[in-house]
Amino acid sequence: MIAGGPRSVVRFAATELGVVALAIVYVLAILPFCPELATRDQAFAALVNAAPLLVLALGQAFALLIGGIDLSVSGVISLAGVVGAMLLTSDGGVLADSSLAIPVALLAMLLMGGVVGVAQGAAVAYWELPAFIVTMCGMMAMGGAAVWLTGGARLGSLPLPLLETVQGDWLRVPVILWVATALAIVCYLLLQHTVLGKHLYALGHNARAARVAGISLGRVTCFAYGASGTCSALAAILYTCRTESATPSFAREILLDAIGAAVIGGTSLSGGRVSVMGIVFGALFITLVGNSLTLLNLDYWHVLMAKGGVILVAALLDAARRGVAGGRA
Amino acid sequence: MNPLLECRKIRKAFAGVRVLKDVDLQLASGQVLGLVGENGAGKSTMMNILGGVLPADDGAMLLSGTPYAPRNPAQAAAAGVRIVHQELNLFPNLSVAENLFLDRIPRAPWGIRRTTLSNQSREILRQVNLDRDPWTPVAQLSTGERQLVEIAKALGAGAKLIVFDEPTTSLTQPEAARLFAIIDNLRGRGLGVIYISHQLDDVLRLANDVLVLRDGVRQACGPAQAFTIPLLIQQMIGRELDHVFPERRAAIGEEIVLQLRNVSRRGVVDDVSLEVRSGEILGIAGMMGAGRSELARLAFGLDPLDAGTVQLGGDMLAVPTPARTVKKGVALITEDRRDDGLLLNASVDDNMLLASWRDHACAGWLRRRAAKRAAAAMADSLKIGGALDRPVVQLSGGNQQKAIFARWLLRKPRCLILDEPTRGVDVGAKDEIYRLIRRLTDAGTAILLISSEIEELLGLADRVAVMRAGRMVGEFARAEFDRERVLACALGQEALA
Repeated sequence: MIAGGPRSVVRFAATELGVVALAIVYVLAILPFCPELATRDQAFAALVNAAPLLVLALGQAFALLIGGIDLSVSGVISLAGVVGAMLLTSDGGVLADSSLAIPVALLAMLLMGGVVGVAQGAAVAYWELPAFIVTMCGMMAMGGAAVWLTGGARLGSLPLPLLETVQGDWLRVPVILWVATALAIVCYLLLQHTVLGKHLYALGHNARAARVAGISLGRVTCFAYGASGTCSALAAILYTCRTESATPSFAREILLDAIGAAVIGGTSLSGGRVSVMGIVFGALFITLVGNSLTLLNLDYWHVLMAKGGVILVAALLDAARRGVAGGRA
Repeated sequence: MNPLLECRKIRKAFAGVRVLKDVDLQLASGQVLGLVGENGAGKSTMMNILGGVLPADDGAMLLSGTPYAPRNPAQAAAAGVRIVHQELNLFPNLSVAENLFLDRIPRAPWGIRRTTLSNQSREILRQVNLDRDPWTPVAQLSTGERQLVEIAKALGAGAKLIVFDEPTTSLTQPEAARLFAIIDNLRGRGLGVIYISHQLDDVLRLANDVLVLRDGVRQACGPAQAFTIPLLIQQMIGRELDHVFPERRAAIGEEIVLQLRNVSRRGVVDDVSLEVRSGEILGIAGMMGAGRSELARLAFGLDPLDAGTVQLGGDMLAVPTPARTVKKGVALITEDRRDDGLLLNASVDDNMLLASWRDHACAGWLRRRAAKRAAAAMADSLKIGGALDRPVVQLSGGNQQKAIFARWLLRKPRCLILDEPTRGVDVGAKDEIYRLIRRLTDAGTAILLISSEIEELLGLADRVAVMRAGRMVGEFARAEFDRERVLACALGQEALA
């Protein structure tokens, strides 16, 4: 590997291990400037920050795997958050006093995300529209709907038991981490050990060949976008509980962080390649960059600049890897 | 007489397969040369070499006595050689005038000189008898009119030699007649014309000389008066048997596995019915564009039917889709291995298992080890060598094709539709594929075999149906197999053969 010269270095750098190495090198390099990064609190803070992003990136990975993209992330987060909060808030919520309020509301949020995703997938598959357009329209429409439903106001006064559970620890590890880890394991098993996973890969590699092989492109596409929508809704639950309120206009930058995490983790934007481990480290790495630069008292826009650079490097590595591994451009 | 074009000993090979072997060709100014041959005889390659699309491996070309070796179509055009392709190369959203003068629009400091462009366009269009406003968008023209624009474009650019590739396939009768008049006119004005067509009567009517290619060899060449259609057909075929086709060991079954009734799709397939029994091979012959591949796609559910029904093992499929037909045990190997078959960057075993993951799973959960074992055993029995985890793109053409066969064999199909199954594979792999096909019919699989190699059809099939212009025009039982009659039928010349 080392004797192989620059090609092996490139190949290594673009694998999951490469992302880990990159993260370690980055931490070691930045540590002298902000030693707080190595404390237990900071480490946990980084992980907890990374968790919702990981959830989003895993969802995004389904769309990317089949050669599509899901831009509707911020729209789903806003709308699901608003829907959940409208059911739950003690400030006039629909289910405010019901004992079943919490599970029903959470289920409603996830279901909403899933249904919206499946609908977008159906539009992509059966109307043969570009995913970019469909999900962009989804983002705009749902973002708009969230503001319309709330009149632009934040919704707070969420039930305490829910906030305490999600913000709390279980076995001395934050619940948010458990959720993200469980999702990552589910995604890994789904992609590697099920027929559906194989069909998703096939669609990303060559949709025409997958169709000739008898794979129903419509169903697989609907599943991919449905999974992405459900993950966005799950992220909405996590964000809503962390901020203790639902924001009707959720920051759109989160989409770019999610795509960035997936790409850094070795997901190919042209479809057919994804790695759950890679995405885990990708999400961690993006969060680390943000956290550490904030700790260094850099401004928000500096952080954005740094993230942009990092994602570009990851994309370059991906392109280089394709060149090396495929033997063809 | 000084020849306009002279080709000497043109050679060309693709991946070691020689498609042109020392072909000589002469054409004088004011002459029409008819170029005929079966599919795959080398006509298109010859034309692509003339047009600068492909370089010749060896040999020399002289155009008006000076060496001619175009490295791209633009150089060929600059030298005065133009090709009018089967699929016309016009921009439908631009006007006739813009298409005519695309690369040399008369300019003024403020933009385009519209009047100059109009007048020059009208002048050129008059030469091909096309009475149309030059500002009509090409999209509004009929196919025949577009072809005239294409010819006008060649004339406007000062062409000395025009090559027509199957120009009449999508023309109506009067449009074709008009085209012939124009070709006569071109000849009268001293241009050279090479006319490639399967319509042998047209060729004999138009051409001064006819050149027959067979398997990349100049088989015959002489004045058109010296040929008749049967004579041409005889020269086009009659190649030696170079494969031994394995004998069937099991009798054809009783059960009708695949049955098409009055299947149509507008513009490509017209009212076709057929049935294939278990263990039987039904071959489909026809020239390029006869609708054979389109028929296969309809039977498999890849394209929607405009009319007719598809029955599989007695079950009617209301709306066939690949997912449904595959579930019923149908398999399709298309002629386009790269786009319709392979996941190029995925591993060999993932490619082999693509259609049968479901069979190796329990409630959606894969039994990966069992699947890998099945793939490995199949690779073994088909002699696909090497590690199965490397990308399939690294395999040879023959092994890639075998991997796709393996994909369907793993499903034990009841009906297999093969479209040019031996295209682009070497001789050894060809024989293996023939044996494989025989093994399948011995196990009771019904096979619909489409091939442009008549020899392959006659060697393997139990019956051969012939398609022409989207219709079924003839059927031959094994006892009546005769290459010349099949080819004559495919060409629409059965009365003469």
